[in-house]
Amino acid sequence: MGSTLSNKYAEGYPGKRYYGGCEEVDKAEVIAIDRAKSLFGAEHANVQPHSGASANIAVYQAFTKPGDTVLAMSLPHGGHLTHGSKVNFSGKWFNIVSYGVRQDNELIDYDELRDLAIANKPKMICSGATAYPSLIDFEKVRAICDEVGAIMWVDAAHFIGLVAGKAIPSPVPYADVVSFTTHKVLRGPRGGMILSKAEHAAAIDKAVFPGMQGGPIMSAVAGKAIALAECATPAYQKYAKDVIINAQSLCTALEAEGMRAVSGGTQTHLALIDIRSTGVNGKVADERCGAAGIVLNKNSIPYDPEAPSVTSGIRVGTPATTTQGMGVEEMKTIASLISRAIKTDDASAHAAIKSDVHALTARFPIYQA
Amino acid sequence: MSETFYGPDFTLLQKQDPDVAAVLLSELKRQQTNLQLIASENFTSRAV
Repeated sequence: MGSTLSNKYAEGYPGKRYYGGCEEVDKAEVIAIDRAKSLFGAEHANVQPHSGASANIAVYQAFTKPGDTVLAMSLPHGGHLTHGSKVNFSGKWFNIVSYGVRQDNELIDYDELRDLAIANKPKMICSGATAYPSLIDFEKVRAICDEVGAIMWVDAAHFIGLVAGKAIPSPVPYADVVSFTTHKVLRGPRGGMILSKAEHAAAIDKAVFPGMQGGPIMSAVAGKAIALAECATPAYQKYAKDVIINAQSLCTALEAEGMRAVSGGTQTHLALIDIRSTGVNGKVADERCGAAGIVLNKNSIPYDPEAPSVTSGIRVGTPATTTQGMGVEEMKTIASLISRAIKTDDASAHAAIKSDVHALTARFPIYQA
Repeated sequence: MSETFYGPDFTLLQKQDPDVAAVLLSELKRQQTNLQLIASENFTSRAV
């Protein structure tokens, strides 16, 4: 949607803009808002955030003041930079208390979460992660928030596209506020979005503009509207379910190659794989796969003995390959290609794997003329 | 000129700024030929 809409300054909201000439872009934003509310059953939607990180800045601003306590998932256990990392504004300006996963089953420890909430009385509790392969129990988080009087914030960036396709349970009925990106599983343009209960609508809108941004990127807003309509189709719902089936197939196939799935497998679009059994660390595995034409990322596993720059794991996700039309059989092939790439440091072997990769992707072409 | 104008024109970009146009084409090739397993990435529809 790199279109004429990118020429227009539209500070404010539909019907309440600072500049004239907004009648056409107003239509695009109203369509996006209506579609977001309808798709997710949300009471309020703000479609203006430029990104997921900017949406999160707005959430902090709407509900907290610098110095307030916020409970969020720790980065090494799958949280995001904006969930209190020391190098991020969230870690510098807020008193972040981190919760993690249990060492035995690598699942969120809701008892620890409740204990930390009672002990620290946070203003807000954040759930949502970047490398957590299991579902989050929103009902439990809601009960903890109610018990301590905290705002329930869900950063759904990673899995909102699965929620949109009705493939996993939605946080929207439970949360005060849900923030997310629009370009991951959701398959929209690069950008962010916030859904909230009606009682928080004014605070959220004020925090986005003028609190955090000036003019919204109206071309991206139009792209969000288009993506939201695509999400409401049966074809998209099938894709969302297939993304999970593929992630589970890939995960099982990697386990068959001798690697270990963190959290015992996946219920979402991604798997976190402990590759210590291969004798190769995450950094080297990432480089070797890259040399073989397989683009994935190194990732810390919970209680990782290696530094974040090295790691003991890789993270693999299936949104892109599923969009290409790949299925369970291709996931088995991909697991074998990953395993071969990780286990050799020989450049000619990587070149051979790369030609196998190209043969596979040639069968599932994207963006053909 | 039968199609309605809506925005970007790649033919024009290739003439005006071949350096940037070349980046777009090589990124397209990278996306088409490699396996994309980054959990946060995807391919948008042409409409988006």
